[in-house]
Amino acid sequence: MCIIGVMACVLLIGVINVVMYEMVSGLKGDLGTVHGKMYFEQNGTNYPPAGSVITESLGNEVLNKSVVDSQKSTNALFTPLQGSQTGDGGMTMVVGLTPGREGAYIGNTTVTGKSSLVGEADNAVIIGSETAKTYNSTVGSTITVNNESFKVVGIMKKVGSGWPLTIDSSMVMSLAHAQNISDRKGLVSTVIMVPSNGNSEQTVEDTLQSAYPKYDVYTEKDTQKTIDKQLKEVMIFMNMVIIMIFAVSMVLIMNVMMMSVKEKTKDIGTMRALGTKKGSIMLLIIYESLILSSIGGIIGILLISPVYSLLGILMGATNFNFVLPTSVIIQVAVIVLVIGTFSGLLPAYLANKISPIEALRYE
Amino acid sequence: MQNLVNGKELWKTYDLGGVKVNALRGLNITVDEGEFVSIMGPSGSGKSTLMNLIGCLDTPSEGELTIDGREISSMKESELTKLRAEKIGFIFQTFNLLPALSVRDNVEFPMRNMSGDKKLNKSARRARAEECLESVGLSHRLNYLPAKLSGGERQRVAIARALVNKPKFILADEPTGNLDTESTENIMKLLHDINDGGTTVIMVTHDVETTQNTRILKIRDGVIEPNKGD
Repeated sequence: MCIIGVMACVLLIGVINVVMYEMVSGLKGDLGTVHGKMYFEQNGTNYPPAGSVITESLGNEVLNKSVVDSQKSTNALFTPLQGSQTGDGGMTMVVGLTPGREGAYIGNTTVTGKSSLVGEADNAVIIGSETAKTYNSTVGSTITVNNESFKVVGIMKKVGSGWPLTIDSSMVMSLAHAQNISDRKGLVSTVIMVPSNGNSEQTVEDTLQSAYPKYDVYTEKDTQKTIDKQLKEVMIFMNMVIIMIFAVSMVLIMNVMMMSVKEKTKDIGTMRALGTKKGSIMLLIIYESLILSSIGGIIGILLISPVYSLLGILMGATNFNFVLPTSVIIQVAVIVLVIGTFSGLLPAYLANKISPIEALRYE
Repeated sequence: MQNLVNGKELWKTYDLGGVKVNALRGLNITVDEGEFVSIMGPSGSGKSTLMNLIGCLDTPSEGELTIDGREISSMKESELTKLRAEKIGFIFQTFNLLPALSVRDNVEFPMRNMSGDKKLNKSARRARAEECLESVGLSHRLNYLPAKLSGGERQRVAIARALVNKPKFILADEPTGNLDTESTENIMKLLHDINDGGTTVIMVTHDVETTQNTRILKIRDGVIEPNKGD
């Protein structure tokens, strides 16, 4: 009963840890795609800048500033693809870019197929891993959404969680085609900028902020803030749940060990009479507690991966190929050891308080 | 012959909810090396209290008690624990074998409590445990759990356990109290054999028949009654 309880607690803690791990590593991946880039956008908008609207001519003006590397920067239009639906209930994000400047958005992301739209048809697209999964697409296939067809020329490798940043859930196409299908001719959402040689991000930010006070320059720091804000509340909640489960496990084993000590009162008395030291009795109780929690813990750890995969499949994921991260195994193992040791301490202390004379009389 | 146990003017007073109860009232006792002593007395006479003192499970409230030349009244608990492990072999009425351990492991157990030069390695401990079990005629039961043995066999395992650390004396608390006549005879023969081998035996008993060929000490109201003719 105790082992099953510990196993269930370890399983819960493990699954929560995995969820947090996936969330953090996903967001770190997303953050990596923003690394070194700056977004010039309308005041009060955020990332992704789908809510920002600026004119293409203003975008060109920004691109021509000396602090901006115009060869590595581009006007970009971010707009949800009408009629699309991703697995998590969101929408595919269309990212319209000037062909040849895809690197401003894609960065170092590995692409299967072509990583540039230069020389491709108007409807050619490079899609993120989530988008590929949603439409079951391969390089060379065609996606049709709302009577619009898109020819897939490249698929980006998964880089993040796809939430709330968009590279995995995006569909990169030429700016002109994006403007065309979203009916936003002459408009863009942002200018994705890379500082020109010799200029820092701060210089670019200061220069553009003073030239265009009604617009924002969104940097990696802002992205980090967005991520931190989103993570903070979730982490607090998850950690509270873990602490609760941790406490339940401790009480569970402690209770079992207290009963065990009571049942073994006579044996403890015999051992003390035969010359066993108090410290050895304490170690014996803690050892038993550790064994109990370790058995439950090992079974729990072994079950984390299949249970997490099963949950993923039940929630609609396909081709779920999850490998339990070593860091999560280590975290859970440490928790199990702490639970085993500390829940054995009080019963061990009480066992030491038993007088051998009383214990020998105990029936 | 050297004194093994020497108690002078031993008092043991318990505080039972504010009421002082004197379990021993200036008791004097001497047990020499190689003796077989039987302690007899009615319930409440102070037998168990005396056994606890001689067994170093407790210390007297007043008086001097030396065990193998060492005064125990002022000893720390850790010192008493060491003394029990090294000098005393315990035999209990209810056998008190550890139920989760095999016969061999039960006998080996007290050797784990030894320290310093007296601490043996695993194989030496096993060999010594098997030797002791053979001496009580149980070498065919090494891997049995205590629950699978008869009462007489269990007590023989307990005797082997008491002998394993080569103690100065064996303290037997009603060793035949839970046994039938045949087993009682066997156990008493074993205890006499051990005593003949040079180990002192101190036994508490109610059964007069088990006291043959032993020095009998009768305890009443917390003191040893003088022998007739003393």
